[in-house]
Amino acid sequence: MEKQTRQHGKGGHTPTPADAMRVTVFQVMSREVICLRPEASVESLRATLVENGISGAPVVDDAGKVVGIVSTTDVVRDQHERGETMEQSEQVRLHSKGGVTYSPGPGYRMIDPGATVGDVMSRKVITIRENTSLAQASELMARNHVHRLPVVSDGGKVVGLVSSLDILGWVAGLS
Amino acid sequence: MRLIRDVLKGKTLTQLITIEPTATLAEAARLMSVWNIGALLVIDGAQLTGLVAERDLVRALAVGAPPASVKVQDIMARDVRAVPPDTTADECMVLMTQLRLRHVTVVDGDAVLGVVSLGDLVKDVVNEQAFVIEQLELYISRGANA
Repeated sequence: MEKQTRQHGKGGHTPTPADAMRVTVFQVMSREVICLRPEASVESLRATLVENGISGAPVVDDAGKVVGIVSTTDVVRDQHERGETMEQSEQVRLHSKGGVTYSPGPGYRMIDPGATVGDVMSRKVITIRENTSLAQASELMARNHVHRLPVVSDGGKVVGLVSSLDILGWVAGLS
Repeated sequence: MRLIRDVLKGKTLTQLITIEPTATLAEAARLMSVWNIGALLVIDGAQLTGLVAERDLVRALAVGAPPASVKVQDIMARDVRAVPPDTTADECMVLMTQLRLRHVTVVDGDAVLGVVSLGDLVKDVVNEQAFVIEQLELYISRGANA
């Protein structure tokens, strides 16, 4: 692999902590937010994350209100804990009506068709408003060990998403 | 059985994105934003000395650290978790889940080969499933005894 290092551009104003208290998430948030439904399969969740190049997404109900949040962390943990691979599990029980248990050959990965986004998502969701400052958003991310915060309207609907990379983009003067 | 060396080969970003320990948080933020990555290898000379992740930067910002003056070496993780390239993707998932890591460095002896993220592992699972489905479809279309 080729090594590559870039230096920060000279001459641009680097934001100060005071700027972070003044600027709101409205200025840096993503407005086109990919949301998932709790009944979607984990398989489709993986595909959605990969196809859209994202590492997490809010989960919303019929009314568009946030009921959870999922990330690559949840997907990998689920993969590990449910022992989907033959290296970790001798048999994989499929959630069929008949409760059929298959013992596939070595090297085959079995997908549990019953697992849904609702099963693996985190139900503890920290939401913020458009007028939340970047300093407050950073503090919420740090305290709750999360990398993204859904931005919601008065009615609780998702209107945006702020990720830690969005905030770093602002620090870098790119947004 | 997929190995981490295969996961590295499948990554879109093939460069090693590094930063010096004396660089500022603003410089680290810029590199992460430009390359759309969540962690940077911290290299002092030719020596891997740490890893700085977006989480570390956000934590620093949360306590009011000035991005223009605080150095990467002040916030980076010095205990860099590394795996050899012949680690399986499953072993890596277990390691990252149990140690709550989002990134792991891949090293072969003294050589740093790259960084694997949770997103890279999820992408690998999706690609592997697509390959299995393709093979099964071929098998079915040709007939089991073909």
